[in-house]
Amino acid sequence: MAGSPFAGRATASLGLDPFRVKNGVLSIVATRTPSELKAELFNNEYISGLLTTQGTSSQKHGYFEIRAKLPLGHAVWPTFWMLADDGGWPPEVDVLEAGGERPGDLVMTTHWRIPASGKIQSCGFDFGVSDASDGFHNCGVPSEPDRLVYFIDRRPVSDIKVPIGFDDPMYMIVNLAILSKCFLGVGPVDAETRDRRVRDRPDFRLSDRYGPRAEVMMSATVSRRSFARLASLAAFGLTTRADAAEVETPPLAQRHAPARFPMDFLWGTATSSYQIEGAVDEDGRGKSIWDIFSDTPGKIGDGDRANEYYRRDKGESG
Amino acid sequence: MIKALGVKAYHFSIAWTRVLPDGTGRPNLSGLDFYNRLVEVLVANGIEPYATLYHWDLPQALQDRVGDWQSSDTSKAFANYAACVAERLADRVSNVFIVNEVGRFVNLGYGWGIDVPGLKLPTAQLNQARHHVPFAHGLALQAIRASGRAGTRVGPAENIAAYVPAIATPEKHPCCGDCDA
Repeated sequence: MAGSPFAGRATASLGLDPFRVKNGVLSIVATRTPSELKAELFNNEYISGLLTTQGTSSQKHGYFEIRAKLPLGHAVWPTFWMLADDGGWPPEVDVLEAGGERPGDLVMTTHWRIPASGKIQSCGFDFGVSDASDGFHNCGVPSEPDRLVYFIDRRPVSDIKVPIGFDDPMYMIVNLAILSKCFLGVGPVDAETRDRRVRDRPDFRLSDRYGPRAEVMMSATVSRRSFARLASLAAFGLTTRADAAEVETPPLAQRHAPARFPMDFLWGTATSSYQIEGAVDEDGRGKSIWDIFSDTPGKIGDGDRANEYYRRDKGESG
Repeated sequence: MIKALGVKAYHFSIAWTRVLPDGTGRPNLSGLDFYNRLVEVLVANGIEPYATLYHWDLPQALQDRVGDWQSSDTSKAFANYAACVAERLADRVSNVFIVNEVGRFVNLGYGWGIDVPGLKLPTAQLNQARHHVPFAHGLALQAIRASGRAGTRVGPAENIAAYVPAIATPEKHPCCGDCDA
């Protein structure tokens, strides 16, 4: 699509079509780059497909969802993500990312920039879906004014407060990247990559002829037909996105899904009197066994002052 | 400051020796007033007070006079202390932890000789001391019920440890296979 950053440099159609539609299911199929087009396609080893609603459909609040069966294979990186209409980055919301030989390890991530420092901040959550390469699963994010909530199979699995800078409507992208360099432990492919066996799936091989495929069934929110009609098509081997995110995104191993607290969880803070109050002789206070114990040399530090909480309350201490 | 944290609750403990310097008798009003002011500020700022009555700071006078938790007189004195606090604060404090971490102060203070009073009692006597804590808990509960509003929640504050394996694979932990199912 003219003007899209995903459109590539070619001035005329390359005649490539990485998409298949069968029984209402759209597949993105990655295949070896035809040798005559390799120079045109940045010498990438594989071509694949990307669909986006950029310039045609975006929303600030609402539900973004994909129903997909994930590809399994060396160096494959299927993603469903959102970027801001104004073209700036971040913000970015990754509704679904999965990697290579372990498609069941789903990652859902939000990226934003801290205005004061300019640093990129990321918050990612890991989830496991055991049959993500065998069956279809829904991954979605309803974007509300204050929360981004991550859903897997229509059940909330985590949420974060909407970070600063998420003011523009966002558009959707779904793509299957084949990584030409190692990214978060996945990939890469190179000219020597042939018939790589996939861990846990010895029957699966990445070959020239049968590239990894991502099968996508679009959600009811945006119909498949309109999505496909609106989509721009780009042939590419490696997304530049992976390059851009490489520095800022924490390693996969450091991302953990935190326990999810109930909405009505009561957050508080706690102290104990002897450990903070000090003022052990004031206003008629008697001695406790811990006063005597702590005043015994060698037992413990100075509890008579503690944090001077008692005097601070009376304005006697700074 | 607590409000700035954005939290909705503050859990503090009350020093028995500020309320009853000798552990028994009539309450020391200026000591009680300190906690009364604290509760007032919390409530005014929309922060729910959670009060602990006993965070191990037994009055030394009780230790000297009646013995420590080895004596049931300590339990009875505690009930009196709880009543004094309840009369002053229970109209605004709806959540009360009576004792903090029974398991710690009994075992470390009376069984293992680490915390005050630093005793290593034989099992029978250790369990006698252990028994006097829930006895005190029960008496204090009645005192709080007598003064508190309906719906006041009262209980112990325990620290409970749950363990999960760092590497939860069937190879490392044979039982994990069952857990994963």
